[in-house]
Amino acid sequence: MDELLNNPLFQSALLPFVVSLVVAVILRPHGWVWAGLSAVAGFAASVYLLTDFRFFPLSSHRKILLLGGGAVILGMVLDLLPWRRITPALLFVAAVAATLWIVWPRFRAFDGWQLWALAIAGPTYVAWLVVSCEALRHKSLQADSVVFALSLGTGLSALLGATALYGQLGSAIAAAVGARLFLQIIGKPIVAGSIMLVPLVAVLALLGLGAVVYAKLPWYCLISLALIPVMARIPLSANMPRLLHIVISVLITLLPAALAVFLTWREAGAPPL
Amino acid sequence: MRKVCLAVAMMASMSAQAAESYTIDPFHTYPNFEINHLGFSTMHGRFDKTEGKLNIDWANNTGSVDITIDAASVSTGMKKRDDHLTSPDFLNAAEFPEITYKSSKVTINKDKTAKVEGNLTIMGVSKPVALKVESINCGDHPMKKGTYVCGFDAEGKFKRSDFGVTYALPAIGDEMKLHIEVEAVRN
Repeated sequence: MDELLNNPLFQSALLPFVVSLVVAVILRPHGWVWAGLSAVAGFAASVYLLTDFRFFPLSSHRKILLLGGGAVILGMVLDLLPWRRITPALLFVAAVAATLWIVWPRFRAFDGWQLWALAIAGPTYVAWLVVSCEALRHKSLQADSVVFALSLGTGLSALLGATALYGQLGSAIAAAVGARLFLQIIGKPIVAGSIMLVPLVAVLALLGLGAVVYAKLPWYCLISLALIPVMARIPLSANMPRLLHIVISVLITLLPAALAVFLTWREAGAPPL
Repeated sequence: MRKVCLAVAMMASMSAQAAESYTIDPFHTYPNFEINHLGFSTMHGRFDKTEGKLNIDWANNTGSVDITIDAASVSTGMKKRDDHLTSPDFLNAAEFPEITYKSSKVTINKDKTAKVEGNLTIMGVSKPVALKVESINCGDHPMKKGTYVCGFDAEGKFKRSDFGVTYALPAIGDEMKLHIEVEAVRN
């Protein structure tokens, strides 16, 4: 049993997929606020196996996971809020504050343009992803596609960029959202909502930035990953068969993710095992 | 009364002379480690940058140690693996750049060995780790006139999981063995 629980494929692929699928089937009839929790539950199961929910010493990845927990509550509140006009501003401020908390220890190590890049480009990357992805909360397929592509791109890039833990966390989100895409394919899509998009995208954005700041992920990979929400907005023909629509929607968003993985692989090569 | 005070002052002076301070020679001090790799073999590595100070009180056979290791200087002979070891998976050197070992409880034995009981700090977590010191050798440096050097080898072991370094457990071993070769120059 221990062997199974310690297997990276079980931790970051099978378990989050199954948990997300089961929770999605249970929550699907309940609609808006709760259904998005399916992918969050799948990811949480994976986090439990990877970290035992231990949060000391409070290193960057533990901070990211704590912020992800807080973002679930924020997402739920946003889903329940009757007015939406303040949402982008609220998410922007929250994303900037979260990013500064994560990268704060590195401010002492940098100076000159690197310091400014960290202080400005880092929060901008996280805020852009969170705000632009959260805007897709009504669009189930685009929301699932964008999180799936972002998680695969971030996870595989982080793995190649010499931090397997970040890679596993990213892959776990990909597997959890993969279960939701499976439901899309069999004709039972479920809504995403802010409750899914805010925490998962925030975690992925911070993992990507953390892999640059605390490991060896090339910074320019983040530019490619930042294009994923833009690709998700490319309009597709409404007359297209459903399955083809799903496949193209996923493939379009995977293009920048694949580019990010390729750029990292070219820079870093294969991971040491 | 004056004689007693004088005697106490003389003893204090002799004790102060017996306690010597040393600075670690970074070019001859390297913490080495061993760890089991996937149950197949024992992998060796070392840290290339170490600094610190020693105090040795020869009169009382005690001393203290304060060593700082640059976590990013880990070296296993393969840059890609070293990058992985400094990443958040293992030492998280960007966030926790220093590994320290501090002890004020050094017991020097008559057979040139010693026992050091101190605190090892990795990733901000401090735990007691004991080191066994073999063969303390001191004398004038043969190639640097006027330089007095002490050297020794120390070894100990600890569990990396105690310090929150839990990645890839149990495939990559939990227990780490430390071997530290130390040379220090008397100030």
